[in-house]
Amino acid sequence: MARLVFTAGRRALWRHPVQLALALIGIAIGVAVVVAVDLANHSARQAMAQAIDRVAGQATHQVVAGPGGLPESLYRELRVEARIARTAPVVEGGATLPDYGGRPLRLMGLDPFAEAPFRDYLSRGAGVGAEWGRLLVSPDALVLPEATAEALALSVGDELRLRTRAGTRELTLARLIPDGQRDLSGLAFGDIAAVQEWLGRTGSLTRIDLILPESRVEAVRQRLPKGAALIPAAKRGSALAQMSQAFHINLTALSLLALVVGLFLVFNTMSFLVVQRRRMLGVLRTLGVTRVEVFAQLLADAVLIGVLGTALGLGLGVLLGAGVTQLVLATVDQLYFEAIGGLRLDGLALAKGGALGLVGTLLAACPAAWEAAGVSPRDSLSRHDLERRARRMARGLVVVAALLAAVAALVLGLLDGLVAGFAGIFALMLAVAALVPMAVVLIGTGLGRLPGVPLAGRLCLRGAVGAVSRTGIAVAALTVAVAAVIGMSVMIASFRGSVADWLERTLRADYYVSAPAPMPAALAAHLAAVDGVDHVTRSRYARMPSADGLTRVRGIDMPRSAWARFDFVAGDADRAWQRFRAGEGVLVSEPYARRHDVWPGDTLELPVTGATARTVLGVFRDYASVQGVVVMPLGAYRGLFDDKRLSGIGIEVAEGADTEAIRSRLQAALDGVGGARLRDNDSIRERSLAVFDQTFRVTSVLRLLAALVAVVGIVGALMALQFDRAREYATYRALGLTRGQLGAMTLGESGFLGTLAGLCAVPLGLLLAALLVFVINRRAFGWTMDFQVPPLALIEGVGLAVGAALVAALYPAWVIARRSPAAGLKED
Amino acid sequence: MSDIQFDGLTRRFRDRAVVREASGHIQSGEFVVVLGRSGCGKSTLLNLLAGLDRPDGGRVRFSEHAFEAMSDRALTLLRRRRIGLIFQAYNLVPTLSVAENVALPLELNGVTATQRVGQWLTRVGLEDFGDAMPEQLSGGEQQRVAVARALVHEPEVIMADEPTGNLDLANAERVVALLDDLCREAGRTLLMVTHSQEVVGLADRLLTIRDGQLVLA
Repeated sequence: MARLVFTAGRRALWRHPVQLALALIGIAIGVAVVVAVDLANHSARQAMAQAIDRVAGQATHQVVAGPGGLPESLYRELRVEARIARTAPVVEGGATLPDYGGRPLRLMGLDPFAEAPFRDYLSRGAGVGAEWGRLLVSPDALVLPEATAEALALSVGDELRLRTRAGTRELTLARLIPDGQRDLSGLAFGDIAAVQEWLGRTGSLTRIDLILPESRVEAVRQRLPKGAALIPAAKRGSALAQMSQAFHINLTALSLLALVVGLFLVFNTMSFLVVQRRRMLGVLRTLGVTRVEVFAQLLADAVLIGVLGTALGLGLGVLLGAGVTQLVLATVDQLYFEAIGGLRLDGLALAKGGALGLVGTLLAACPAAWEAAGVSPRDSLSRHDLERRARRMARGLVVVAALLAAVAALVLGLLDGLVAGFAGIFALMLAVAALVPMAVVLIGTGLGRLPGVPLAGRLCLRGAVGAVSRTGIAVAALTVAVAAVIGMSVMIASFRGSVADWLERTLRADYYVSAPAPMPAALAAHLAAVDGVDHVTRSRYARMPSADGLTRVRGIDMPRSAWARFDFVAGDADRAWQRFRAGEGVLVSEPYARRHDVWPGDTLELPVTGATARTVLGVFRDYASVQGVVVMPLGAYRGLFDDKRLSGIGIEVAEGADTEAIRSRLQAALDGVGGARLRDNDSIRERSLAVFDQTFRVTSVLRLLAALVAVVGIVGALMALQFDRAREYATYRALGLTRGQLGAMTLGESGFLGTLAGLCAVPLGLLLAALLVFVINRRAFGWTMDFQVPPLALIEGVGLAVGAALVAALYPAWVIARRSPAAGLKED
Repeated sequence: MSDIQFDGLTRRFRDRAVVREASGHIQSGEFVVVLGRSGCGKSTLLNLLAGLDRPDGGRVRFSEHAFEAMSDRALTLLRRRRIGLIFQAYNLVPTLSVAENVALPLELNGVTATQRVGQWLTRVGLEDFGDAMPEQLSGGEQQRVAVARALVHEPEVIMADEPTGNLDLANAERVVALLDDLCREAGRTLLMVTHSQEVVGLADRLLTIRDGQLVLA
């Protein structure tokens, strides 16, 4: 194949450096978003796997505690009386280093003599025996992994301060553990007795690790105290992984959405490339260049753009990945488990991003290249024929849109699961995009025929309709991008609004008391007796590791008036109250109901020792956890766990009472109760919404990136469109249009296209948001929510489309207005 | 031998027959001018004879090749090897230099002959413009590059569609004379579409087209 054919194509790329740069940026951002999210997902999964692996070690099973922890005597009983040799007690808790910016650490208290079969990394290194011996005699000796110590610039013998719920302590770094194959970052170790003291849990264990043959499982189970559970270690990890999978799929899909927008813009760019070369391709065809050679030339350019854009995207992706990883880990920490760590590079994520960038660019380029190759040489030289074909194609696309919409409806209606949900959404977006060229023709023509439209306006509209081969694609690309932004904005607003309503409903008391450690039951009665207090509600909250992940149980004691805090999704609130009060059943939150498929009338059995089957009385809306929660009367809770302490106390003041005076009295009543905090419901609401915003920061970042891809893409596309019509504009100038009039006309045309894209994006964005709210979020997290449309999100979307279109036209308008008409008329 | 035989050629655009039942024969080595007013169907006839467009009726035979039986690829390869085309709007590839434009047909035919490019640039009087880009040349110069490009691979037939339409009189005469000389010296067929009466004197034969019909053959 002739080298010069490729040379001609490549030089055509360099001739439009701004457009080329914008195409590269468009692809690069698309790839970067996918790579960044993939790396963040990979890092989060690694963090989770290692969090489980490094703390569980080789254990086959774990005895996990109820809210009161495990009694130390259980360890002795299992080891001595049940004769289970391979057992290890563990006490575990969070801590921070106040002198290192509050850096978090996971503190593990271990018994050095029992550890060898479980966590081999603890016995690596020289002089192990002597140093662990030293740990036993020193209550302030801490062990850190080498990498952590290095990062903190600490050496053996150095002192450091550690803060836990129980207070701040001065400790000495006694020993370093080589990190080896395992990532031990974020962990710190101490002797079990010392760590119990540091965490304020003397005499209590978090869990007991066991290496246990299946034949002994039942024997162990029979010795467990009330509220404890024996769970297989591997199952715990896989259940957690399964739960957080929905979160990862959601993120991945959002990143793919950004890529789809990116690819649409690549398609747009490639279409412009073909349109710009129309005449050149025609000349080449008359000289004897075959269709296959024309196709090859265009694909060669697509490969070049794809390779450069993808390479740029991979680099950007790694940089962006570091930031997104922090946001994702913070969210994972909030939703699922304590995640410590940073970006972990993953070859597969980079390869996937690279492949998506390259293959996506080629696929996006194929239709345009194929169309160009299929045109006869005579038609290639005629713009009129190109536009006639484009209008014919616009009509054909209406049929394509109908087919795609039908496919979307079938996929969404018949198939379950997240992947099907997103596939349906993508099909729907393509369907609407396929309608856009026809909308340009119909609306542009219709507006042009309205009486009273000035000549300049009619020229703008006819220009947009007359060049539908280019304007149709540009508007469709902008529509898709802006719809994605609107869809995500409305979904987040709906979610936030629902959470705010839920908080309003849930936080009915005037004040709430909480403490880092469980509070004595007598405190509630003490507070109820404070002058001006109408009544108090008492609750106890337990979060238990189980084979199903985490089981959350809440025991609650409340008056009838507070029952309205539960927004029932299923079940009758009044009847449920009667039976709940009588101790005849439990309530479950919506995510719990969906995850475990339990609904009013069903029975559920909690996976803890001593639990009996309980009837589900109702399902209520709850956004506090993805895993869900089981709510039972406080008495039933106490019967199950033998735990009389309280996690929270809600206080309602008497009507007409002086709330500030009562606050002072309550504060005084709390003096001397360790760490107890009195907060009003406004501050809790604010704090909760701040956590929500933190959780959705990743989505917001992705939304911004999608907007950026949209702007970059449309700037490139419309710029190309305006330059492509330089000759036409020169003719207007020759006919007497002033520079100002020409500039206004260029901006007017772009403004019309931007407005059209913005208006088309509104219904598509709302549809997208509805699917995210009613299909995706329900399938991913089990949450239902109210659909709330903030007008600002729609105004922002339309503004983004119009703004991007106008920005895109500014530079060409300036160049075209400055160019002499003679030069423009001379151009091919 | 590259005789062109066409019989009953018809081409319609939206129900309007631009070329109607046109028949004729162009012998190898002839200089034939197709004359007619603007919009009478001259260029359409030339497009059909060059295989750039397909007729709605009738047949074209180029030597032993019947166009109606040929695929797009076969027609393209025939054009690549045996026909040189010149247009009113020059149609140079804007991203290739003058020398590269001339070299393009050679490359397409798998010929590597840098010398030949230089020789042809000299023959059209542009030996110093090989590295220039098309946009740096005047209209007359661009058309001379187009002439060199049409002839460099030594096709049997040259078809020119209003090659002087964008040129002043001096440049037009120069280009036509150049074409005439270059074709006659190698015995090539030259089919020129024009509405310019000045060219008529040079032609061996005249075909006049009026409202899509050949009225004198």
